[in-house]
Formats: sequence, structure tokens, C-alpha cells
Amino acid sequence: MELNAGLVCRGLNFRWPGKNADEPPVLEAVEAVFAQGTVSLVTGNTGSGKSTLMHLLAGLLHPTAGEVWADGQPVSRWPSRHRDPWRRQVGIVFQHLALIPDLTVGENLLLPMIPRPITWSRMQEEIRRQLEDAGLSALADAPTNTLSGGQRQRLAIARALVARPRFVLADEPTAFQDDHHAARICAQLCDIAREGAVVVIGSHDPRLRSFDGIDRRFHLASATLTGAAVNQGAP
Amino acid sequence: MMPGTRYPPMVIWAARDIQRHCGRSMLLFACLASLVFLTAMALLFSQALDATWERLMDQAPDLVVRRIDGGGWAPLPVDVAMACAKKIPGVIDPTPRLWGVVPGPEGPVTVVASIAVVPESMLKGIPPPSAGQAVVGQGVARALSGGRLSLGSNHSVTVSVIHTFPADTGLATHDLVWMTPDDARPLLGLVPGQASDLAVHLFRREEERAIQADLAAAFPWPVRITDRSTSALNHHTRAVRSGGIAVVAGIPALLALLLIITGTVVDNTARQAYWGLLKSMGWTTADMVRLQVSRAMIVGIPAVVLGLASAYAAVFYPPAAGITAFWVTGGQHLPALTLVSSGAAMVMIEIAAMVGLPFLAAVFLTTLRAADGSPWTLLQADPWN
Amino acid sequence: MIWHPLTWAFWVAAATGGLLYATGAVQAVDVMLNWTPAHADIDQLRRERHAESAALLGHWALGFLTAAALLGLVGVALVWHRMVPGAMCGTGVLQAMGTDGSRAMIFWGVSLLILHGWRVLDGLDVQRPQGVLTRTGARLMISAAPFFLLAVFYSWQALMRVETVPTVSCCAAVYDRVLSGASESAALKSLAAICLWFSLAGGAALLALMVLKIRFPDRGSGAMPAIIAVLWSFAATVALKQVGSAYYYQVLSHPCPWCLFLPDYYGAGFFIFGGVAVVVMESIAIWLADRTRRRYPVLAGPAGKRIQRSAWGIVTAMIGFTMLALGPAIAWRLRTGVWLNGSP
Repeated sequence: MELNAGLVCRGLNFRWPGKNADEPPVLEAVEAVFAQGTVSLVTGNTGSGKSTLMHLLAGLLHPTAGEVWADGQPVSRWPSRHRDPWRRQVGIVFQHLALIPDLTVGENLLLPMIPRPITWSRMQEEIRRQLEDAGLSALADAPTNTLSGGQRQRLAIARALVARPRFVLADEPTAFQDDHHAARICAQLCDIAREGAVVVIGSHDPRLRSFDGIDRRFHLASATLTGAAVNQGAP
Repeated sequence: MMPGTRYPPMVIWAARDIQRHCGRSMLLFACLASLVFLTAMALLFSQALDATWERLMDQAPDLVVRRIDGGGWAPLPVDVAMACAKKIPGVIDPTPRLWGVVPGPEGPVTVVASIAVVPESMLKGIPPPSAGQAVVGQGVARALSGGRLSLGSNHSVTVSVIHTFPADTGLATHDLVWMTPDDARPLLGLVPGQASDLAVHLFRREEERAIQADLAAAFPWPVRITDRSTSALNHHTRAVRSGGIAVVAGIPALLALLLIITGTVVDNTARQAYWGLLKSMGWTTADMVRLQVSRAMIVGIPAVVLGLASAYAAVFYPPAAGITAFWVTGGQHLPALTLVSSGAAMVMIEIAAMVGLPFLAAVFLTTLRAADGSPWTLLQADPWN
Repeated sequence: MIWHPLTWAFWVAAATGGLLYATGAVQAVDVMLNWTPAHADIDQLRRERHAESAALLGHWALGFLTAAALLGLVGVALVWHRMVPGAMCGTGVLQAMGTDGSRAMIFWGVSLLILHGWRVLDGLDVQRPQGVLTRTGARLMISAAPFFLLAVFYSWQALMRVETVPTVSCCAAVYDRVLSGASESAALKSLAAICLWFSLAGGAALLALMVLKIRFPDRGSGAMPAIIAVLWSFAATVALKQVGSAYYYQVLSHPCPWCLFLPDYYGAGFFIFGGVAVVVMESIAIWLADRTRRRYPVLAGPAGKRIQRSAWGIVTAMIGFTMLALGPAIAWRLRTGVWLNGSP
């Protein structure tokens, strides 16, 4: 397995702390390569461990065995003071969105930008661009708690993408979207991948399974990830 | 949308965070400002008292010689004392002085009859009194009836008051009565040719300790010599102690209050999810500490400035200055105080160390405690789960 | 003394810094004893968090303890002598404090130097995620504890001793010592001359070494500059005290280092001795960075950069020191045509 090819899981195991050893693990011996410039879809039933896999890939959780490699580095083995800043290269869309309700749309987009060494005006430029892509320009100054479910989800995706991450991990990114917006989000994620990012989508949305921009499809069941490449022409 | 500026984004975000939690920030501001006010007031008062004393002591004679006998202080024969003092190398300008404490209408007052007792800077153009006249300090002036003052018990003398000493010399002239030597002698029990003590100036001030022994040996009777440094040391110790005691009396309780409030403001468990979210987006614990310290500085710096300004007003502007003097000194009269720039700088340093450092440490420790967890664990504390 | 607000300020800073240091050191103990970077068990994850917290706490503690030490220095040099009968500068205060004062200063210096060394290692360790210096850093951080405790103990003893001190002779003692005996005076003169020439030669050698370190940070020994810098700092201090200070005071026979801190001499002592401190600290940084470079190739790059940064720091500090220490003497010589002792 080539370890410097985007985001790689090598023998990944995960078991919740405190659970009995005889209980089945959430993930077991997961081997996967999420290559640079591709969109990968991880499907599976509710509770199958898609979100856990996303959190492991983002370094929010630690694998109980095995490793996650990013760009040839074993990031899951890194101590927290290195893993935390590494996460600046990751854009994560949470299933529960995790927006700050009393902040405006623009301010929610600002959050991931603040600790980065970029100027304030550049931040504003990036936010403006991302709001346009998400179709939320008119709502820049609106408090987040006044948005609809679909708008909030688009905002969560915009927040994940605003800092141009190397790795995009989207957990159920189309759950609250109509067909039009779901297609638009998929296209947006494909565009990001074509620019060189690693995009991993965890979803059980049937619309995504049939989307032709997906390069690799994985299925998660009984703690095991299985999958195959779909679009061989991916860079 | 916020306008583009060149200010560091972290500071801008800290300001926005303060706006989001306005009530808590105001509480912290008020607490910090009060703490700085109380501390700075005591310290400024002590520094100002010290500076004022130092200014006055700078004009005082280097040595003061008093004759003593078995009963205590004894009158000094002027001619003999002058001759003895002049024999000592390094002594210049020995000056006999007439002064003493006598009963006044509302307690004892200090009568002076020679100009040498009162530093020139205090006179500020006041004409010397003639026979039957007196210049009095602010404390004595308050007890006057009809512009006349009666002093003494056995030998009573009544004089008319023609002037009062300026208020800004109150520290040295509060209970002073300046009159002619002829009016003063009966009150002080001195006959012509006698003085209360002998003020001595030295060619080199640094020699004041070395010359004391020679000077004491030169007189035919026992004398007690007081040097300027000892007096200055005593005044300095008194001034410093007044500030120190006031600080020590109030600081621990206020500091505890500050720590509790800082802890309450910073360490809010409801914010744990917020910290977790920030970490999931690439913030480090150090970034969060930086954010919280920026918040603390935005609230703290104006609070410190306000506290210092209020303390300055309380020490140097009447009538607040009177209340402050009463509080710090325990009821002494109000002097008009001065402050020197080095003293003010020292107060700033002391405030920074006594209030600023514990405040910053409290902010740092509470932030560290709240944010020092794995992002996933922190995210679990949030209502969206 | 006990009532002096600056004394309280000193203790508040020392106590706050001590609290931060103690909290960090407790977390560092776990890191030092059980650090296993190859594992991902729950205990190691906790240790990783401890290591991160300990690093942050250590940096803050170093800042606070440096502030406390500076407050103490300001107290000794500028403030507390007014509370000590007969004292005119820091010499009188240290006399009043007895040996406890000098011991306190030494232990404060050693504590801060160790923590500075830890800071250098931590700065290198943070450059790479392997954490190869994490355990060594934790060990170094904890090793400052006994020195810090002794510093606090002797500071307390020294300040309490000042409370009841009789009159001291301060700079009179300095004059007396110089003028007391011809033999002692001659020995002092020869010591001063040796130190002066060693400080000049050592300074020149150190500058040359630093230029080499800036150009070739990955060549040569790191121990050599550190040894030269430490010896130079002693020689330079003695030379400044015995020779250079006279040009500030404009009198001979007053070799008092503490008077240099007084406002009468523009607080020059803070800058001059600050320069010496920077040279010593940065030379230790070079030594540690060089050792790290040799032992851990993964950190060779960051260590080289640190060596260059420290070398620049030493060059700047030495230029500042030379200008302040020799400037007045050269100005005197140019103005009068002779040195202060009359020699042409």
C-alpha cells in the first residue's frame, strides 16, 4: 500500500473506550486509500461507523490499532500539539453541522480562518467567494439560527471548504437538501477534488450512490470497509 | 460583514467574543477596575507621601544638634555652640534655631521663631511676622477666633494672624505658628542667647555620618545629633508602610474575588463544545489561550487605565483626596501631595505584578483547564448532540 | 522591608510563576516516566495532552519567573536600598541580606537558565511530530525544581534579614577594600588586567566563532562557544567592575557594579549585564541545539536555524555590551588624551 497517496488507512481498528473486549469493534482492520484528486463515497447503514471513520480520518478520534497516514505522514500517531494544527488542512462537515447559532453566517465562516497566517482582507475575500458558491451571499449578516435546515447544511459545507483544505471529510452532506442543491453540493465537492484535494463523503443518501462524479465507492458493514474504484480516469 | 482591516484577526475575534458575552465582560471589567483602583490608591498615596517628604527633607539641614541633660532637652547657649561647631572641618553655616511645642487653643502647636526651621520653598513670598503677629498653618487657622491666636499656659501670648501657609506645604506646616523671636521666647522658656537647637550644613552631604562623632565630641555638654538620612529613612519607611499595609489589608480578598470571577467568565462548561469545534477546525490549545488572553487584555487594559485614573483622582484631587488620606492614614490631616515620575512608574510596575500577573495566570489556567481535552470529547459536551 | 509594595509585587510574581511551574512540572513527571511515543493507548493519549499542557505552562512559568527575578533585581538595584540604613545602592542591600541575598540571586539565575534550556529543547521538539525531545524536555523542566525551591527559600531568608538589619557601610566598604592594603590592591590590579585582556580576547574569539556559526551552523562544536561565553562572562564582569565602571563614575577606586544600575548612570547596569546574560543564555542555546543536531538528524534543520538565531543574538548582545562598557572609556580617552589612571 502506498502511504503517501492522499489519505490512507492501514489496519485501522477502533473500539470505544470502556467497552468489553468481547464486544464487536466499530471498525476492524480497515485498509483504504483515499487518493489525492478523487472523491470517495463511504456508504453504510445507520450506526455502521461512517461518522466514526470520518472522525478517525480527521484525527478527532484515535484508532485503537492501525494508523491513518496523510501525505505520507502517520498523523494518527502524532501527539496532539502536532495533530491539532495539522487539522487546518482538513475541512470537516459534521453530521450535526456544529454551527454557532448566535453568530452570523459570515462569522461562522471566519472561525476556521482565524488562526491561519493570512491577512484579514484575504479572509474576507475567501468568505465572500465561499458564500457565493454556497448561494448564501444574501444571508452573510443573518444569524445562523434564522436559516433553514438546508441553508445551514450548505453553510456547514462552506465552512469546511473556506480555507481550501487538502482533505475534505463530509458526513451526510446532502441530508437536508433537495435534488437540485444535492447535485450542486456534489459538483462543488468534485471541483474541490479536481483542484487536488482528497474528498471523502460518508452518506447513505441514495442520490449520491448514483452520482457520476464519485471516483471510489466503499461500503461499511460489520466493522469492515470494502470498496472499489469507479472512475479510473481520476488524476 | 466586517470591514477589512489590518488588525490581527485573533484580536478582532476576541473583541467579537466579548460582545457576545457582554454581561460577563462587564462584570470582569468592574471587578478588575475596582481592584486596580483600591490597590493603586494605596500605592499612589504612599509614593506621593514619600515624594513629598523627600522634597521637604531635601531642604532640611544635614545635621541637627540638640543639647540634652538628665531632664531631657536643654536650651543651647548660642555663642558656645556656634564656636564649637565651626571648629569642625566640613561644617558650614551652623544656624541656631528657636522652636518648640506649646499648648494651643485646640491641642499642641509647633512654634517657630527662626526662619531656618522652615524651608524657604514653603514661605512662597509670605512676609515675616512683626511683633504681635504670626503666620500659621492650615490646621491652626481653622481654630482661630477673630483672627487672633492665644498660645501657652503659664506665659500666655496672644498674636494676630496675618497669613496662613499654603495648603501644599501642609505636610510640614499644618500645626506651625511662625512668630518673632521676642514673642516666642517666653512661650518656649528661652532667654536671649539661648536656642532650641543648632542646624548644621555640611560641605559634603555624604560625610554626615562621619562628622557626627567629631561634632558630638566638640561640645562641652552631651548632645544628640540627628542626621538628615535617618530622618529621611524614617519618613520613607512610614510612607512605604502606609501603602503596604493598605494593600495587604485589602488585596487577598479582592484577589480571590478576581480569580473566582475570571474563572467564572472564562471557564464556562457550555463553551467546551465551542472549544471542541475550534479544535476540529485546526485551532490549537495555544491559539485558544491566545484568544482568551486577547479577550482579557481588551477588557483588562481599559479597566486598569480606569482604575489608575480613578486612584490618581482620589489621591490628588480634593475632596476625594481627603477621604483617601483619612482611609489610608487612619485619620491624619490632609496633605497636598506631589508625585514624581519614577514613583508613578514604580506604582505601574507594582500594579502590573500584583494585579496583572495573577489575572493573566487565572485566564491562562482556566482556559487551559477548559480547552485541554481531545476535540472529540469536547464536542460531546454540546447541545447539538 | 516586609511592607514594601515592591516586595509584595515580587512575591506575587514569584508565587504565580511558581504555581504555573509546579502545575507544569507535575504533568511533566508523567511524561518523563511513561512517555511511549509508539503507543496509542488511553494513557499515552493522556500523556500527550500532559506534554502539551506542560509545555504551555512551562513557557508561561518562565515568563512569570523572569518577571519575578527582574522585580527582585529592580528592588535590590533601585528601590530597597532606601529602606536599609546606610545603603546607597545594591551593594548595601546585599550586605544587609548577608550571604542569603547572593545565594538567592545565584539560584534564581540557575533556575532561569535551566528553564531557558528547556525552552530551547521544547522549541526544537515542536518542529517535528516525532517527539524525540519530549522526554528530555520534561526531565530538564523538572530538574529546575530544586533550584527554584532554593531560590525562593533564600529570597525569603534574605528579605526577612533586611527587616532587622543594623546600619550597613555600603560603598564605603568598597572604598575601604580597595584602599586597605597595597598588596591586595596590587593583586586586584593584576586580576583586573588579566580579566580585561581575557574579556577582549575572549570577546573577539566569540565573535569570530559566531560569524562562523551564522555561515556554517552545522559545522564545529557547540560546546566550545558555550565554554568561551561562560568564561568570557566572568572575565567581562570583573573587567567592567574593576576598570570600565570607573569611566561611568569618573572616579578611581569605586569598583561597585551595583551603582551602574542607579538612575544617576542612566540604569546602564541593566543593559550591560543584560548583554552578558543574553550571551550566556544564547551560548547555552547553541550548545543544546548542536547536541540535538548531532543526536537527532530529524531535527538537524530546526537546530541549525536555532544555532544561527542564537549566534545573531550573541553578536548583537556583544556589540551592545562593548559599546556600553568601553564607550565611556574611549570617550574619556579621546576627550582628555589619557586614561583615567593617568597612563597615556
